[in-house]
Amino acid sequence: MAATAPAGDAPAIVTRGLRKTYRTRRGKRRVAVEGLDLTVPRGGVHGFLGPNGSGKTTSIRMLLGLARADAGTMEIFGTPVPARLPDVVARVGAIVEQPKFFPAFTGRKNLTLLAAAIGVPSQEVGRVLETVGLGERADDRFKSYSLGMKQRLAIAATLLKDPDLLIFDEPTNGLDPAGIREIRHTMRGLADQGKTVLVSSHILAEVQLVADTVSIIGHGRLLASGRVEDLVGGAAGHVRVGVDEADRAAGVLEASGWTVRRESPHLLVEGVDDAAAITRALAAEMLFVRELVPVKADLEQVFLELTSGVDSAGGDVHPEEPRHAAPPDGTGTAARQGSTDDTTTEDAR
Amino acid sequence: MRLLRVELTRFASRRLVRWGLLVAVLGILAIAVTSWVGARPPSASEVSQAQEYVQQQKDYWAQDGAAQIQDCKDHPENYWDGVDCEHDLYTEPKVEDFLQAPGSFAAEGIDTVGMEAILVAVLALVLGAAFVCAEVASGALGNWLTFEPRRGRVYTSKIAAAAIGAAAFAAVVLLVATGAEWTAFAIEGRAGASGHDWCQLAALAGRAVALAAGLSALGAGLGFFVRHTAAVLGVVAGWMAVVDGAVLGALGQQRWTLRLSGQAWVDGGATYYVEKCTPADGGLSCESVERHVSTVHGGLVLLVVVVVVVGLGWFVFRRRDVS
Repeated sequence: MAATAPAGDAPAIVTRGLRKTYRTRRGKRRVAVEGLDLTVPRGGVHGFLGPNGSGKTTSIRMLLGLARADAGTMEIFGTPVPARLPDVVARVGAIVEQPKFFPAFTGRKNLTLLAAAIGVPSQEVGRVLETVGLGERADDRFKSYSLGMKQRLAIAATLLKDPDLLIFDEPTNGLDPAGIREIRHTMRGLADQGKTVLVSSHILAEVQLVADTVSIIGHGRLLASGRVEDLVGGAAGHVRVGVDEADRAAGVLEASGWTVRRESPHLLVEGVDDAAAITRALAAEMLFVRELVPVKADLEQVFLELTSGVDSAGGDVHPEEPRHAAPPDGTGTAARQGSTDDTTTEDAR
Repeated sequence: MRLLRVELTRFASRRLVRWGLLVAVLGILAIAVTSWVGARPPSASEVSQAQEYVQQQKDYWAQDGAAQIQDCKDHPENYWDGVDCEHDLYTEPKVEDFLQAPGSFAAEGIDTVGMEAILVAVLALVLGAAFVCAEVASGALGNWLTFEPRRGRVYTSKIAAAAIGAAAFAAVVLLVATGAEWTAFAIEGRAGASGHDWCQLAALAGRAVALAAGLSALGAGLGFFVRHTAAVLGVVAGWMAVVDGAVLGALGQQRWTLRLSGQAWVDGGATYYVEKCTPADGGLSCESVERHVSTVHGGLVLLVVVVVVVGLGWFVFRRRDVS
């Protein structure tokens, strides 16, 4: 195991061998996180992706001391947590699951109580409320807020501490496109200020737009980690082909060694390095292409490839063939495969 | 101290506390009205009614008195030992015998405040439980812990705030109760009380405030354990019915019940009776033996229960995952 880096150089978050199990009502143990080795580099936006029940929220809760880990170690800015979480909590702001405040109190009162609890001057409450655009609704009760307003209040709360690390767990759930864009701009703006933002989300397109690095987990294990462009660039390109006699054309292409999916009225040819080779192969059989469109690989494709076989409804896991990859280093391009075993796991978020 | 101040602010801001205060004050005023009614001298109609009853008694004796005396002489075994048939069977009735004596603050008023103190203490239990359970149920506790992760400080501040807040609540309510009762009797000129009476009342109120603080802390501690206000009340009600009401009573251990301990603590002592049966003449001869529970005993029993429950709540909160 690598020695812990000096606190000043340490990544924002490091977990090694993190494990969490829950006991079901029938006494069985359900694995939520299984040996998670996560590294979140300092600065920028880091996406934390995984199917439902893969252990994202559980991992975040363990980092913040809300859940007890069964095994493994965790560090935030080089400080072991949760043992020394009080030493570093002032540098961490978090929104875990849905925003939670006292429903009968106003937004302002909720933040005033929090500010008083952590010794922040009350003037800061007004400032952060204005920052998130809640100034006019600050004196309305929290329970009267829309979901978007609740999210904004939660962000305002995290900003009270002026933290170096912000953790957002599914921050855009239930928001309209305008709200999603606002959250995205907020996260990007925070990262541009030099802060580290860890965002857990299902909306891969949004994460791809805003994240600098990502970690993808499945079965509570890290499957891949690295810069977005490196992960996406490693995925082979596909080409959408429009051709008459699609069935004959598919046969020709499959005979040439390509994998072809039929997406009527088109064909999707996978793993294409040179699109011209497709036209040559088809033309040789007197099949002429009327449409040839390269389909750029995206994060969703990478995500689905890595997490295929995970039954999000909580059924049995179907082990995949191992894919060789270098271990994640949190800054490089390596994609790592999470090994599967015969252990049956279920959703344990 | 900073956390405690914040928690006290939150306690005071809760609508349940404000509504509880309003309901308590309205209830106290209603009770004070009945005290005032009881303190008034009898009305003309009541006096007239009492005079009718006196006359009825006289008429009855005039009609059946001689026969009653004769029956007493003929069958003395039907009357009590040592009866003087000529003089003991009839006492000249008076109007006052049929009128309720007006109450006074020193007697009825102070007892009423004592009864209200018990109710306030029960209300404090609800306030303490709801104070914690509302935060747990809304998920705000988890959010709170992301700002202050030291669970010991968080737990201590919430328990202390529940206790202090409930104590203040009880003090205000009992002050209003005392004022209302005194006023009710003062209107009829029956509010006189000696210095000893005032000292007893002050001691009673002080013990009631302490009881409210303890029960609120107990409710809060139980709230960390069961996480729902209704569940807290269910646990308490179940304990009172099963353990206090049935088990300990059946075992003749009433002195260890929460009900008797609370009564002893507030009232400055309590009395209960146990049946003692001895074989006699082929059967059993039973008599009720009076037993006494001291203030100190009642207070200690309650203190131990509060400490155990608060400790249990801490043990659970320390280890439990918070959503």
